[in-house]
Amino acid sequence: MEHINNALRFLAVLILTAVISLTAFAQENIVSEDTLKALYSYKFTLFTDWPEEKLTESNDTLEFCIIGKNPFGQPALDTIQGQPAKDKSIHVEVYHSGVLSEESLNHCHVAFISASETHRMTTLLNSLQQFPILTISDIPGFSSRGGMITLIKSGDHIKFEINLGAIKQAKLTMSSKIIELATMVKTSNEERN
Amino acid sequence: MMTLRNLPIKTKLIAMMMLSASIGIFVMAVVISINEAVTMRHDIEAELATLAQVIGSRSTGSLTFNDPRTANENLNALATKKDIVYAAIYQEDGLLFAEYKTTAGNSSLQQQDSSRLTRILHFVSAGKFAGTIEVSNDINFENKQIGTVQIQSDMTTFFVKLLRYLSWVVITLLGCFALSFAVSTRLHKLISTPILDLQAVTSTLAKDDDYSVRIPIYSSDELGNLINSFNTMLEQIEIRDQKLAEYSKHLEILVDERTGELTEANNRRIQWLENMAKFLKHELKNASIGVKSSLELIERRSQQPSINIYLERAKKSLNYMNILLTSVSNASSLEAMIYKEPLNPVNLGLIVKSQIDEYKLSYPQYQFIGDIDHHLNIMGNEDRLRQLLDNLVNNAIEHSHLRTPVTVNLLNNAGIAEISVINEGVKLPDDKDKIFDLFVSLRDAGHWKSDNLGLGLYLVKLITEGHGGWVQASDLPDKAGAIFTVKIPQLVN
Repeated sequence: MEHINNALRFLAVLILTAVISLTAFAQENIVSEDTLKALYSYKFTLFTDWPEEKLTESNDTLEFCIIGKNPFGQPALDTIQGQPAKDKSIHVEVYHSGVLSEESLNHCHVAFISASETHRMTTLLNSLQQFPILTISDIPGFSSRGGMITLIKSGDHIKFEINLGAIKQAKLTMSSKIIELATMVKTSNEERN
Repeated sequence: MMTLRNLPIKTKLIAMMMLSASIGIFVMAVVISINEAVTMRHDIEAELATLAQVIGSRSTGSLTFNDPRTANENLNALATKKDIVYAAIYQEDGLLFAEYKTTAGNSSLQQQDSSRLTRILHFVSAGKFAGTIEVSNDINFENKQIGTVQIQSDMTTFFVKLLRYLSWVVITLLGCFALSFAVSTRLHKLISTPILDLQAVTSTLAKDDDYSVRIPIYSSDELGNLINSFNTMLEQIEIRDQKLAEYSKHLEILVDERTGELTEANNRRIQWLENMAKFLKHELKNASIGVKSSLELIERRSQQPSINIYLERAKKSLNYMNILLTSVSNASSLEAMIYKEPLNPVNLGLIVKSQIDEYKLSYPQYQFIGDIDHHLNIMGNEDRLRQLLDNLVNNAIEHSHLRTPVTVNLLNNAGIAEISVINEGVKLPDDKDKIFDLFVSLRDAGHWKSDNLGLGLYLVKLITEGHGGWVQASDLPDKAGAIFTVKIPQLVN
């Protein structure tokens, strides 16, 4: 009888171990939303061309600036940190809320506007539009309010909107290879105002 | 090859030119067709590779942002290319990302596979030009392979293009053959015309023996030189023939002159002999009459028996001298007559038959056997022929044993009438060629039964030669005896 109890106990431990392992494996293979957004944001840099002088002012890094509260967890940041883009490597830097100087903004190649900056998004965009900085955000209506790329969650997938007028105004060029993947939007005058 | 050798030279030249041109054109067409087929396949492969590259380039965004819908839209653009039956985009790890299939393409491909043309091309090209062409192209982005594009195309367009090209090749080939035939039918005359002229002239020469003909010269090449040499040869032969004709004519005149002179001399000789014989006969007859009368007077007056013996011997000699004179006179007269008397068609069989009948009556103690061909006709003189037979039969009787047969045959031997007289008895002398000469007799040798002046066989020879024939004598092969054969040409028709 004792032998049976030991055997049942061993079997229970084995099953528990298997369940825990499978759960961990499943969690490893499901990419989280923030990681997905970080990856998309990184991949946009691959299809974007900056003016030559913008690229030459930084030596070997492509500055990925997160403005506002960092929406990405550490795994998501690790995914894109140091990735190659435009013969440089991605350098992620977080700028928390506050007034950003033009010098600080001009330092960025990509500016990801966090949802925490929704309330001052228009001000930020007005500041950023004078620089060749790719602006990305997951704030709904970001592109129609003068932002360049808006990430939109749709089920298990991420869709995005692109505002070509804003991109052109910032003297950036976006590859047609992703334009056909995106939803095109224009800047709404009411929103801007 | 034997059939080609027996063809006329015109056909042979056309065939040679056509064959050479055809082989060259055909080989060239085959080589160009193969090159064209390979080039067309390479072009299709290059076009597919370009398409794959374009699709791959356009799909980098889709692959990067994991958007298979857009990738499928890119692939669906291939629907305008009817040959493309399948296309797919694979991710970096080999998983299928987007796919394009055309059901029409598949059915077309199946139809193509089952068509006779495909089977033939598949067999001929060992599968290289049948089925589908597949092209794969890597999709690279930012110096990294992010996927693969694969495109499959069936060979419909290739076959259509190839068939169209081959149709033009066949039409061009036929045109080239026709052109080659048209040109060769004209060009062959450059060679065949001089040769045919040469052949025609040689045929004329062989048929008419006319060396005045000449062959026209059309060119100054080897054939022209050959014709020129042949014409020169004909000219030389013509000159030689003219000289030969002149020499022949001159020779004929010369022969006629000599023959006339000889005939005249012979006639003079015969006339002289005849006159001499007549003179001797006349003068010796007169002299012999005197001698004879004197001997008769001596015989009447002399009573001495011993003198009578001498007288008898003198009379016998005188008698022999008279016979001799008569024979010589007859022979000389006959020789003169033979060349003067005309020859007429006579039936030799009837003559021989009648003579044998006569001999049977005249010489009952001898047996005459005859094998006579009654249909032999010759040009002859009947009296002289009877005289010829008389002399031969007399000669046979004189030299045969009693009660042995004398055989007289008349046979037709290949257009020659052969009279043979055979007797058993005395063999011929060793020097048998001389027995036909005048006054030749072997009587002194003791083989002959009676006196013989050697005139009979001479007359036989004389009469035979007067009829254009010849005579010969030989011993019997199996017994003692002789056979005399006279051969005279028969009368033709």
